[in-house]
Amino acid sequence: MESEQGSHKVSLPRDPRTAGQWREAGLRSVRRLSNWTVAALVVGVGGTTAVLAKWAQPTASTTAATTATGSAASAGTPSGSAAQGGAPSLHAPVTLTTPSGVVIQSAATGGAVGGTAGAAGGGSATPGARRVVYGGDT
Amino acid sequence: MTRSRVSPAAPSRAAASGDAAAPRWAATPLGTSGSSVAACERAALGTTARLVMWPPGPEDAACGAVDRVLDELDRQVSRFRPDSELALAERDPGVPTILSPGAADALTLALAAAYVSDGRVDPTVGAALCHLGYDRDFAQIDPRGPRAPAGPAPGWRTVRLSGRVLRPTPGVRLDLGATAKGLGADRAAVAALRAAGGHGGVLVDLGGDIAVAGSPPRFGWPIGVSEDPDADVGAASQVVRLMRGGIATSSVLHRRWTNGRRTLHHIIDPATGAPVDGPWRTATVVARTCVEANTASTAAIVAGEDAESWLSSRDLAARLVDRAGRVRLVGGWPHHPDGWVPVPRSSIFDGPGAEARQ
Repeated sequence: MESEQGSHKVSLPRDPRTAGQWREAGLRSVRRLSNWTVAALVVGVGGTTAVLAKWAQPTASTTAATTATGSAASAGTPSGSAAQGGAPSLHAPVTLTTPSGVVIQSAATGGAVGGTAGAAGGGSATPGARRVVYGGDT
Repeated sequence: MTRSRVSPAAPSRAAASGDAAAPRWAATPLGTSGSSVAACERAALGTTARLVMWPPGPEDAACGAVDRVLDELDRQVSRFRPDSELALAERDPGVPTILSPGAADALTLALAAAYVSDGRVDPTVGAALCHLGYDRDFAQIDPRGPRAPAGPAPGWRTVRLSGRVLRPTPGVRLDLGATAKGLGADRAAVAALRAAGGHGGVLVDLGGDIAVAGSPPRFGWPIGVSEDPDADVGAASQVVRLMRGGIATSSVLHRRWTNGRRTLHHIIDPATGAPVDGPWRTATVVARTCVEANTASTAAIVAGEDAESWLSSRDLAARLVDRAGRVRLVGGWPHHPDGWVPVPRSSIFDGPGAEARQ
């Protein structure tokens, strides 16, 4: 390869590689990049899978008992240490959201005899009375 | 496990400690032994209060904290206590009354609920409820005597509250039933968590209105949804997971009474003064707090056909049941069992579109 600068001819160094070698080098770099991309994808997918597996929701039935899981429970350590080791995992509902229930007492023969939930809870049950649970509030 | 029943004969923690005057909590089994959560319940506010917490251990302190909160709330705003702050204030209409901070806070929230619900949840329906016969504890309602609705409620704008100073308006009777229980659950959950030293997490259930505080269990608090307050938790229509905030259910199916030949219920449409007669019989809503969920569930019942759009405008997830028992899920409420319910990032008291403004 030659170029002209003024009246002088300057010889530039010639790349010794042939077109075939250029092509080979390019393919190698593409393969190298592909390998890294695949590796990154593998790591990414693996990490995402691990995170999702950790946070996946349990598929317990609603009739299952409330149980504790985790190292504290399985090791038989006091449940208090579960707080340090992590939150418990509950598989059954601990309560219900409903229209509120109202606990009253009514006579066995029917007809309310009064008494709010507080009275019923206070142990003031009238002999012969039955306890009736009504529901509903906001 | 059956909820809503509090056995009078159940052994109580307070009784065991020799404090006969204290409210009676009964330990509630949650399932197998060795559970890492504790639960107890007692009668309160005309319904049943339940406290669930992890780790077990400081239940007594937490129960005591809940007791104090509920007793204070009852003294502040109960419509059925002649010595409550609101009842005493209403004795002398027009005379300014300085409310306690707690009572003023409760009334302010009730007015805020009326504002954000476009007047559908209105604390001035007290007179309408009394007119229909619900003028005493539910258990003591007199079923005799047919009465027509009293007409539209005076409206929340007639309530004159300035800071803590209330000037009761003649003829206006306040009823905070749509917000007070949710507020009580919120307050009780925070108080119980503090009493427990701030460790772990607590759930407070006041007759189906539920607030959680602290750290949830792994995968959240599993909560059953049911229209039957006496249902067994295993018979829930659906189980959802709550990580934070509150959940509440309103329904026209219960707390009904017969007045003459009419069957009435307690959710009053402020626009008519009569029990709501809309397409939805039950609404369950999750929100950032239980009082917000309580407000929204009542508002949804009253809103009727507009319920879905109103809930969506507040980014609220809800489960609506229509008169025929068909379920309609709104705002990301999970279709599958044991799914998480999304909790909105903004408060409904911030108004619609608050999340977009943040």
